[in-house]
Amino acid sequence: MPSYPGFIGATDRVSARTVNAERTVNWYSEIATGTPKAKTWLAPTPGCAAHVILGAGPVRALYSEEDRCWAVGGSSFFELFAGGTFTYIGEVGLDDYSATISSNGSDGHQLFITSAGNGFIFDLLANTLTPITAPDFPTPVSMGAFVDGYFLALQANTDRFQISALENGLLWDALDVALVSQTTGIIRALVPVHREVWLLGTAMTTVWADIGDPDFPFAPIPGAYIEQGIGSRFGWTQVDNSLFWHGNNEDGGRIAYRAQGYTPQRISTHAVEQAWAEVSTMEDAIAWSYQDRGHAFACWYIPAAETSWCYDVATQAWHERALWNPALYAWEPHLARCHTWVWDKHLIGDRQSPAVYHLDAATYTDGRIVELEA
Amino acid sequence: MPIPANLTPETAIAIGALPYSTTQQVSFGGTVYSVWYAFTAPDSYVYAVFAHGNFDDYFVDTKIYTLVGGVPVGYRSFGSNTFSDRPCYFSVTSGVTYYIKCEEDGDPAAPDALLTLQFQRAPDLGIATGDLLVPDEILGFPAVVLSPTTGAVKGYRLNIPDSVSGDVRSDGLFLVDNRTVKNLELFQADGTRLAVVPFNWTGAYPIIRTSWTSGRLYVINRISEAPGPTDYPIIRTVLGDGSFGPVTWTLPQVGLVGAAPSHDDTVLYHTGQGYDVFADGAPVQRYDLVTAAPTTDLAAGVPNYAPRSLLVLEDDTVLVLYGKRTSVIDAFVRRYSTAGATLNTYALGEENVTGFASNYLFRALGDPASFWVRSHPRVGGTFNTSRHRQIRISDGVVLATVDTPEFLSGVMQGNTDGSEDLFGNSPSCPVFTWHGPPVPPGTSGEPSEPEPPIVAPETETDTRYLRRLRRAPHVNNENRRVFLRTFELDLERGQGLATGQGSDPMVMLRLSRDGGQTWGEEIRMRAGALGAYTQRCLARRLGHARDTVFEVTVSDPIAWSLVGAWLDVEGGTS
Repeated sequence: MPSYPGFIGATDRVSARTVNAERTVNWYSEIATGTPKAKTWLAPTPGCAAHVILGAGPVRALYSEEDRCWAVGGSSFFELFAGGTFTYIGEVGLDDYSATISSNGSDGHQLFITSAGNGFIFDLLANTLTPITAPDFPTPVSMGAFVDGYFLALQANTDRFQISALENGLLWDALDVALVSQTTGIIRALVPVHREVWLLGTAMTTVWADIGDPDFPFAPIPGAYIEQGIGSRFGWTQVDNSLFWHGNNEDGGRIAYRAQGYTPQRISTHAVEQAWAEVSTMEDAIAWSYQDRGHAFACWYIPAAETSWCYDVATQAWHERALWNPALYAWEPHLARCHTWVWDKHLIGDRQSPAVYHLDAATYTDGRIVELEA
Repeated sequence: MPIPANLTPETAIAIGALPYSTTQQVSFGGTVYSVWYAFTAPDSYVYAVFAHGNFDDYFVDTKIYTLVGGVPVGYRSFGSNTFSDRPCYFSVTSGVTYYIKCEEDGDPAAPDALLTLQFQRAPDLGIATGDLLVPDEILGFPAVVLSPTTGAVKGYRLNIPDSVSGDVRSDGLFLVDNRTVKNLELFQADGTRLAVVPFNWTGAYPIIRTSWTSGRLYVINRISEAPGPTDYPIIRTVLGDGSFGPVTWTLPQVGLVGAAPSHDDTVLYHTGQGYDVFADGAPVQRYDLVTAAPTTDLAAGVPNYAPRSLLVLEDDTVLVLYGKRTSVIDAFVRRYSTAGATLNTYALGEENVTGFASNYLFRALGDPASFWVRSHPRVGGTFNTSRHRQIRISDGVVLATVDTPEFLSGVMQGNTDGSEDLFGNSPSCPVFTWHGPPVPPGTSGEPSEPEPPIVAPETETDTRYLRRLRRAPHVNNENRRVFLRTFELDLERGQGLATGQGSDPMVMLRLSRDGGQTWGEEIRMRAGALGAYTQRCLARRLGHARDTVFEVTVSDPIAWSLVGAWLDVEGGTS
């Protein structure tokens, strides 16, 4: 019997269904090497096995280092443990955005948490959470990061970011502020990439680096100026040694890019772009990523979309991840909105509940969904 | 006359045919003796003992024991009964002998003390649909069945635990808490226990409420389950098998007092400063279960009044019971539209609605025209009696008034407060109408039922399996008709599970014959049970079309690996 050409493939449906209706949901393309019966096949995406149900949700950030793991669930900050338990640490506030957690590691033994416009420091030795009350700390802060001994804080809806004192996130000096004057408009995201600081604006991106200036160590890298911004505050992720984001500039948006040096390389297909064009907004899109079985996946959770979209760096193919809602007879986006790798597990945070799952190929459940059976 | 012979359990007088009544002289030579009677229960039910003296100064304490290894062990203890007091009720287990000690508790020198002992089986008039079921929270006392018109006690159900919260869903299944062991118990409509659901709460009792249209039972743990200072309540659903639904929600509000799920996937709730403290002027708030976020309030607060109970009616309007306990105790019920407009106000008057009682408002199944409200009117200077009123929604006419009778139910051995447990003034227990089949008279007690399964607490994995879909490229031949002879899926076969879902994994095949615009019925194809590595997963004689799209969907819990597909087609000429 003749083979069905193209039966194994990616999601490539376009708005005109009669042109191409191809979809791949909860499978991803795998490449077989050697002399296989088939060169490509569809492997199942992992299920969601519950790791722990936190005291509050949604899970807005996950972070791990040195076998320790923390999460922001709802307005609360928690430490998670390998055995599926957690400890409530304190309140950090709640808004519609993701929280961020970064660390200055063994030198400063501090975590820098940003949530709902405020900053907090968690002392890794004393296990205490302290609001940042330094008068010069930039509020409302939209996200934080750590580069070369400094915590960086991006002030929301501005073009300015600030650095902390060296290895001390409780001290912030009003003079340690940078205005990103190379771009117009606000800076939506501040992302440390290879010890550089990518500042992604609404229409343009500039990259800064530590030049060792004792007054203010960070300065723009000459020539590292990209005519492409980002479409949402948390629409970026890093995997496979690269930054991935969905772009935006004065020409348009809703295209997925991968940074190749300082050049954005388009990775979305027209099919993906047509699907993204049909959602009401991507300003609340959140990207997350992980690497498993040789595949690096960059995924976008778009609340207004039917499914979550995943780009497989290994095959450069797209697939969708979703939950099936039998009551509505419709797909819903995958539960994940953030990820961390710890205890040999891919932990993901639930976009709608206090649940933290681990992605598990031997689990076939989809986690939780809204519509229940009576 | 000699002194009484029945001074020990061993010499107790056997209680004979019921109803039993006897009189015994118990004072001799300046001593009033304590005497013993024995009763062997022929069935498991509730019995009433009434022991009293013949004058005001001769009080009788009634204590009931069982013998354990020949030693009397206390079972129930009732306070002193004078001749003017009332019977004491206690539940018994079939075949067990109970020893009743009538103990003098008055003038020790009463020269002519006469003890009167009356003993009988409690009323067992059967249960009719619409009767009120009251799983009161008196420890060790069974649920009581009341007539919805006269309030008379019609019977008892021994297997329904002492509860503080509970509700019934539209198919008659009802869920109550067991306040003694702190879990949940799910019952079928006929009162047979279906499942025991481990559910440990800490301090504050849960709220159990039904969403009438969805049929879901919601359980709200009023205290956060997370360590830490934030008392954010957790909302769950309990499914028909007694398991928890896969979703939990966290209500971002401390001090929850009451809540009720609405039809539109919101939960209405109101809060107080503490769990048993009035919160005058508190609004009725809403939480959206879909977005898991608070949404607009249903109703602003009423000055000087606090919401005490919520009920969503069949037409999606909302009843809110308001109470005031300042200088003048007062209560009323207000009915709101979903938009928050006031539709009706039903005055209750000088009645108390304090304490935790999320079930102050309830309704009879199948009766969209009325609701029930429970309150505590002032009687003799106190607010102890529970009054249940059936109120017509349209005009507020009171259709029925049922006061819970007040009677002694005894003190359990080991109770330390020494206070008498009085059924009838238990403000927190749930009340709901019996929706199961009628129970004939004389059979109300302990229904024969299998040991209920214990459902695992809060399974953290969903039971809904990942659904996977592959929609393949179009099949067409320059817009000529294509006859689809055979479609065969190439996949990893024989991966079925040993038992349960997945033991016979299936692939659902759908075809679109118009290029992906519309879809036909599903065709099921076997993917191979465990070890069936040569199972062919195919479908034949699939008709014809000019522009076909094949779609396969799977959802059985196995490792689905798709390798490809084969397609046998024959080109047409037109």
